[in-house]
Amino acid sequence: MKKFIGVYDDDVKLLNGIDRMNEDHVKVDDVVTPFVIEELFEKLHIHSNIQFLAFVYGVLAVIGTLAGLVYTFVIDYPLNIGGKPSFSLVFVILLFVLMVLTVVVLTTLTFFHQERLYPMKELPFEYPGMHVDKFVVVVPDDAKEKAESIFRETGAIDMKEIEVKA
Amino acid sequence: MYKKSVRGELILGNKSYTQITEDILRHQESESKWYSAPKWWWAAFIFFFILLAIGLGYYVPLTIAKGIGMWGNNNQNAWGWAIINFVWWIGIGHAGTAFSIFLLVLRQKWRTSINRAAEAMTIFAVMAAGLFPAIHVGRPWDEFFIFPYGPNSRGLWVNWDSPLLWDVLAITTYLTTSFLFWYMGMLPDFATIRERSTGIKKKIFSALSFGFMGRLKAWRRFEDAVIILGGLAAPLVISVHSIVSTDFSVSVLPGWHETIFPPFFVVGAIFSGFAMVLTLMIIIRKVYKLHEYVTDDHLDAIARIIIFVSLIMGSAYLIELFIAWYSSNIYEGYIFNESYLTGDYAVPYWAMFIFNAIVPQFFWFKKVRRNLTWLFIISIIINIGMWLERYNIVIPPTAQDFLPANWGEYSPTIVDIGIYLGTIGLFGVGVLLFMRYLPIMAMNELKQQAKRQTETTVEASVYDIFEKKLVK
Repeated sequence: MKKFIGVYDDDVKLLNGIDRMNEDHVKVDDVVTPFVIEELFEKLHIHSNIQFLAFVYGVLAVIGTLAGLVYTFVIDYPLNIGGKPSFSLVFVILLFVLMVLTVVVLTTLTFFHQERLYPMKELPFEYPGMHVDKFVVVVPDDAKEKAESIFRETGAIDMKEIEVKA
Repeated sequence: MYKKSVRGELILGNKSYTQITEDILRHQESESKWYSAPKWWWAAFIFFFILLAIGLGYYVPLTIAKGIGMWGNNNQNAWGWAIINFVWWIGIGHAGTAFSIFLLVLRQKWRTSINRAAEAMTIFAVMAAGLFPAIHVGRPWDEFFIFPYGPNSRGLWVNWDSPLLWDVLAITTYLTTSFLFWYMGMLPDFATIRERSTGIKKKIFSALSFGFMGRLKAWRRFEDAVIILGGLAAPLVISVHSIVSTDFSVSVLPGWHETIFPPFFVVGAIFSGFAMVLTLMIIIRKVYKLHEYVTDDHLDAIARIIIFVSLIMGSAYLIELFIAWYSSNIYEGYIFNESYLTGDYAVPYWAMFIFNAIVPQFFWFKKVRRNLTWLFIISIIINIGMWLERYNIVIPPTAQDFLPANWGEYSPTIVDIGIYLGTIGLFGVGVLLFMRYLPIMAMNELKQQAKRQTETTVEASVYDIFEKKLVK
């Protein structure tokens, strides 16, 4: 798939460029940066559902663990340990620890799944320095003309058409 | 919150993003072969590898083959060096994640230069810790009994009321969480190394980076996932060491049966771990000449935390003595007010007290906090002090319990010492491999910090201009 990219060597210029793109209603497909730039999330309305999913995993983990504990320790094989109740407060400790284990593992897997990350995965495209000090803005090829003038005006150091693998 | 005027600049030398990458990867990229490394690295590696080979290659198999009788444990001291070392290592392992996560949650930006090494330290320390309970059970091949997979094949479910079971689950969870948190944090840096390398190295880092690319959505998900992992690991740090303390405090032994144990253990863990972080960061700063990233202000900040934690430790020691006296329990009183203060265990007790509660008070002096040699020496003293604390917790109460006729003496055998040295070797080898092959600082976070620093400087100059105009 053909895309058009503009490359900045400064994050302030990048943010200006993105502002201009928003003003001129140029669709930004993606931005590749060497570190997190939180302002971009607001400017380009980027959200993720990982925190919500983590909460769901947590609730399910608590319910599942509690069910397991009650089944093993209260229903299936209650042990009389000094007359203490089988259904006891110690479950809270186990619920917490097992909830953390479940949420941590599932959240990590969710991140890897949503990003389709796997060993030796080929990158959709590469630009020298995009993980070091370059900021790459990707726009659709049909917005090339508008984007080109914005890139030029806001100080992009390079712009070109590239082939992005699906 | 980070204030420039309070903490000083966190990255010195007005670094560009490229310079940050080059500085952090310099020691990797300057080596021509995968096995080439500086002489000091090879000397240290061979030393720790020999310890590892002796401990884990000889004494651990010997223990497994011949049994726990090879150790100094006896009828009275069912727990000896293995448990001392287990608690010591798990304590050290706590600070890595504690350091990284508590400072992340508290938005302390000075964590950026140190968190990666601290997290790596956690992984190797927890691996070293996990070895002890694994071999202490005597029959490691039966360890799968700890997992609850149904009573029909074995007659019983596991006992969920036992702190020893909580311990297994807590430490497994802690190791998993710490590893995932550490690895996730390294993904962007692996991508940077992948981009800058060629040949087989590129292939290895392509595999390690899982094809991570700093796309906008990826960063958003990354931030959310990391904060979830960090947010959950913070209370986990507290719960894990509290659980370790319940291994002791739910028993009825004098010296162990105390309600102060959970917070006491947690604080002790953070204390020893911060001391180890200090030791490690001084070494990394020195050998890799990274004083622009690990500045005097960073070390100063760690030293200040150590003073604070040391005061809590000192208070806890005094409270233990007071409660033993105030409770009028003769067994408790004997352990604390006779055995520890003036009796058979006075030397390790007072050494512990001085090393952990008195010596760190030198950090009140700015000159000491700013002197690398003193910082290094005191960090080592604290680590020795914390080992002695675990010795004092494990040995005296079991050696001298309720019935004087049963009292025994404990001394470790060469097997105990060999296994302990083996875990030091494991830790040393792990840390050295980390220093040689992985990014020792979170480059992506440093760049973010450099960006923030530039903004703060710009804001400060704008503020200065306005202020001057107002004054005029």
